[in-house]
Amino acid sequence: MSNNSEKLFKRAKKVIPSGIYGHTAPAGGLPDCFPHYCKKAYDYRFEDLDGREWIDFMCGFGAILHGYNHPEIEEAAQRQRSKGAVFNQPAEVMVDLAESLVDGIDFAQWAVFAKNGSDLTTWAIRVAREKTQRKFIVKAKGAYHGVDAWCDPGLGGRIQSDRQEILEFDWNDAEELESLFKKFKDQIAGVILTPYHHPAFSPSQMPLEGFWPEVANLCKKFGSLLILDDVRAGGRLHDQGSHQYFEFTPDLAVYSKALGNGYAISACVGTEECKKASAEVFLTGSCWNDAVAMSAALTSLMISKRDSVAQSVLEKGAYFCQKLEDAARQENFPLTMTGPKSMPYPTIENDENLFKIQEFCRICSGKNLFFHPHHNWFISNAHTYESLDDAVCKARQAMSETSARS
Amino acid sequence: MKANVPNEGQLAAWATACSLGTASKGLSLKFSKIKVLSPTISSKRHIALTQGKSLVFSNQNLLKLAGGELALPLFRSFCQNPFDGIRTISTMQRVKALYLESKPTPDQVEILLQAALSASVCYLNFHTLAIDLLAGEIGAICFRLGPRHLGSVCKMKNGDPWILERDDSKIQPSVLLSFSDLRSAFRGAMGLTDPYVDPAEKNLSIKGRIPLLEKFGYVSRIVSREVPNPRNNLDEQ
Repeated sequence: MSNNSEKLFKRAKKVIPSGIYGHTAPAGGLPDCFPHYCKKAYDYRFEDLDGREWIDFMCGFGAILHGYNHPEIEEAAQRQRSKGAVFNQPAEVMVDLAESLVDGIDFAQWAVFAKNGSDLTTWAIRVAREKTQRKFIVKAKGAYHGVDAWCDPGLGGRIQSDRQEILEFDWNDAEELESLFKKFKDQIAGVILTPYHHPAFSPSQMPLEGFWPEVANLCKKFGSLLILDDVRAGGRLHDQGSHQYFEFTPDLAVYSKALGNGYAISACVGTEECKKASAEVFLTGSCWNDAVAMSAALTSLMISKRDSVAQSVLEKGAYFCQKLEDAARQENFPLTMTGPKSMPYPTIENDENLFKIQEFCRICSGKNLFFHPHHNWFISNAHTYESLDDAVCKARQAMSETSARS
Repeated sequence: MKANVPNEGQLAAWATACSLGTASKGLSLKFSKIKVLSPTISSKRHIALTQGKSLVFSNQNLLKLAGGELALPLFRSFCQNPFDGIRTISTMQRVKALYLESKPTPDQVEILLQAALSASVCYLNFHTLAIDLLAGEIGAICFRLGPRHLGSVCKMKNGDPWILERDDSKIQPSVLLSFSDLRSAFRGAMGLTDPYVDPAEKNLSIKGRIPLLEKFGYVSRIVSREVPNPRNNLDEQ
């Protein structure tokens, strides 16, 4: 007998290609035990279509920073919704939000808005091209910057010219980056990087000591723009942008995910030097002036600052990761949490093919823990220490069961 | 021309020939003493289905034949050794019948899946986009029906070619694709698996290094489009 999730999927596949596509496609996770659909969510929990409640560690794949259904954010959104969302002209909140970002982010002199990270990572590289009048963009191998043809991780719909002007280097290898700058002298418009390396299906890699200053120096030396793709990490490492956490200064930075705490919005901020070039690169979208999402983002930023949310989720993440690794040690289960503590990626020793982490997450799912085996997890500020203790306790049982099965 | 390196434009026909060879080998191992086809590339326009070159087809005619259409071999090749030619045609009929089975057995599905994997292996080794896509990848992609090993596609180390491996005792899987039932496995062998829908509906389970399977899957879908089999037209109707 199919459950509600499976029944809905049967309807979906008739009218939606693949039923569910993109990063939420069941095949990318554990389709045999994760629900395909969600009914509702609050704080750090969500309920699937069959009434099962899960302790969540994905937070809408990062979009939820303060917790699902956060009352202050919902209230702000509702206040704006009662007036309307999309008009012929932008609403006042657009200027309020731009001011908030410019006030909060040290290098930012201006801000623009869209709906998704991809909208603005792609726009930002065009701003770099306009500013420098050069064509090449450098990125790290395996880095995710969105769904556009120059960077998407999919395989279909590509033509050779899509990536003709995209160069790649290994994360943390500043020497390789320098050699690209030398090889393509006066041709590199910008370098786009995430604050740390978070490829799917692989452990996260933090920047080595000296990596960021060296990247910033190289960009300056060779006249290229440094673009920070802070879409995933923004708000979880530092309230004023992840560059503060790693102590460097980009020319442009793109935010999305946590910015609206679940409302679709993205922002790109930049230096005064990039402002003219930014005005030359056309930017618009049907609902990009959505005042509801902007109100949510404005409140989300206010809460982040007021409650030092980045610091809080880092502390909660550190507590959780430490407890989880302690439990793993006691169970003789070689689990390590990589990446920043507020968005850790789990990895198991000698598990290059991922069988063990998949089995561990599969067993955890039986205990209502939503641990993704292939993507970094996210801590929200709604996670309580009790909820983290509860998760660790269940995870420890799962470790023991995983070891027993292998 | 190097032996058995297909020319540009010959890959689909060569993959078809390899697939026929694999199916005939499977039939001979599982069922009866039939002539096993061992395809060779005769020229950039022709492929022989046997070492003795008793049956040589143009690339185009081989594709037509594999798709269930009528197509003739080179007459002179048939005349060289008519007896061998007839045995080869008989083998091809047996392979065709396998594709048209309405209720195939697990043994038959195993042969069909290996035939499909064999065509994919050709693309992995010779198709420009596939080579680019899987550059640096090594490992074993294993296919099962319950506990039964159906076949694996492997590359043990860089520099080696991708190969089809029938014997799972030699393999440490990098990624494991298990069909839940015979029907799903048959659909898989016919290139009809939906990589998104079928796992979600539990028609198959995937464990292990998913990115490797994603790349292989993309290539095998190219193969499904380009390499015909006698059932293609039936499934489209």
